[in-house]
Amino acid sequence: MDAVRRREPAAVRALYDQESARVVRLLGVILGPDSELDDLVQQVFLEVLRSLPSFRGDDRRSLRCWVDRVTVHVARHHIRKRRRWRWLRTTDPELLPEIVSTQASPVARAALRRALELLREAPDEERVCFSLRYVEGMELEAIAEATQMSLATVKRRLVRLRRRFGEAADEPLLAAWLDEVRHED
Amino acid sequence: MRTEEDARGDELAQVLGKELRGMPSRHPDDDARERLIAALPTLQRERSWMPRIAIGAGVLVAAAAAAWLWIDAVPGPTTDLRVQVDGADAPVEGFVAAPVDRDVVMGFSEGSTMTLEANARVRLANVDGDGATVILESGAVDARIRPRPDARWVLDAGPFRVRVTGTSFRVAWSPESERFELRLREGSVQVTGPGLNEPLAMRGEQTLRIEQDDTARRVELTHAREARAPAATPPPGADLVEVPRRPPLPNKRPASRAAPAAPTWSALAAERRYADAVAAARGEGLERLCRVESGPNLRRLADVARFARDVEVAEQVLTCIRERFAGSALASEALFDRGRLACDVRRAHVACARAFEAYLREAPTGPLAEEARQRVMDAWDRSGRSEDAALAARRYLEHHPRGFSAERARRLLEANPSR
Repeated sequence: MDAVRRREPAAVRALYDQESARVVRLLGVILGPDSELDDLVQQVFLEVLRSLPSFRGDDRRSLRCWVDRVTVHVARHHIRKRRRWRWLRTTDPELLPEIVSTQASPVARAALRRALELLREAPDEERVCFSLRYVEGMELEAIAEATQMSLATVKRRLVRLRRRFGEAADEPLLAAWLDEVRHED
Repeated sequence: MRTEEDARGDELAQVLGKELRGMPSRHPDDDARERLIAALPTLQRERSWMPRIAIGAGVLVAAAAAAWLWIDAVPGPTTDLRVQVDGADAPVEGFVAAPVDRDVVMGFSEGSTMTLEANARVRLANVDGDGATVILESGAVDARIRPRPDARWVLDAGPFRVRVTGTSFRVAWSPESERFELRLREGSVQVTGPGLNEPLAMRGEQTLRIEQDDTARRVELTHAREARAPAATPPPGADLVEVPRRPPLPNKRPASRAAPAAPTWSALAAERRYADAVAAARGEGLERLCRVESGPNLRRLADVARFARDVEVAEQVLTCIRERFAGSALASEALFDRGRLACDVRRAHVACARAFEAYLREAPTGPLAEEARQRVMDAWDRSGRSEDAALAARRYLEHHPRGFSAERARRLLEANPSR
């Protein structure tokens, strides 16, 4: 930790190697495909390194939380910037990510696309909470810390998102997908 | 208490989260990591926004608000480039399209220009103080980028990305034939994309052509002055075919080969080729599809048309759902979709509000009622009709006093208490 605080190149390289895939994934889920993703990843690490003097943690786990917090901030900043350029609509199909499903069935692939559409249509803050909770598997308290929201707000966002998903889960395609997954489990 | 809907939503979210977690992640980018290392010495002189958050979070609302404003301004550049199209400010939506009969010049305030050749269409994804990210959707663009230290220009064309510092080049992209061509006149660019396993650095007068037919991808790199210019070194591992002179391009479809059956609209939709899917649906006959497709499929077709921003087809399909499935929940949802079409594609707020109101008349307690009431409220607000917005807010609160937009509804009512 001290070596990272001193911004020693070897420690910074190790930090980048450990966390960059996670940062890419988080930004990808929150923002969707974005032509500036590479630059944003760089920005996250620059901000992490800039902010280290105020970082009070002393282990890898707390550093990871710090990286998450910075990532969420950079993503939000970018969303605001994109909004100023209102060309972007979250439901724009051109911006949906390339699907590389771990499941081979055509139903699963089509359903995954539909689920991603739903996610893209959700408000930004719900996507932030979704990515931290359901992709990264974080506890609610940790999400509140990373997003600087109250615990109640995090819960509300997740309830809203689940309701949104719950409404859609009856669609034949998604219902078939969930059946498939249940069957596999 | 947890509802059944909440449980289903949780299950779907978990499955999606697992899928996203399981998707192959990129390996750490060595180049980006080393750029980060190279930037370390400059960090000592810079401030971070993080201490401001720490102060703002625990102290005063005013301090937090000030920190927020400060954060919003960081870390973006202080002055973004201004963009003009044929001398007028660039459109708000960020789309620029050249008419079929003439070129259009997009000028940037630091002196760079991009000339859209007739019928070209681009999207301004981002403009900041260092440059811009421009997405070439189709057609050709002739770019003259003024060299500057720290300039950062990106031109995306389909799956290809051109990184530019200061140079002059022409790039063309056809999404239909998947043909990419970059003709570099001077300077240097870096190109990434399918067929180039590593970033390709182009210098001097070179032309890169990449095209894909049904069986193979063909990559050519040619020099304008082969006799004098040394051949560029193909990146290791790239399936790059460097040729000294441009040979005739292969026929896309040899006459001897039978044409494959055209894919259906649903197959194209499954591949996210929404515009192609709509074209295929037109080819299959919209009236016929309206007769033979199932209700959910028709709703999917309406969605696909909405994604493709083809209002005419989307409206036609929704009308057909209304007629064929009159009185059903599907028919009511078609009204809801008509509202989404008006709001999200046509940006017609009054039509949007009317459509959602029509949905609510048919399905006042339907599964989408809360969202419809929220959308009515928002649409009236966006159209500047504050009294109607306040009325919609009151109705929202009557039905959903603890709804997710209740706070916003109260604010709208407070702004217009007479309603």
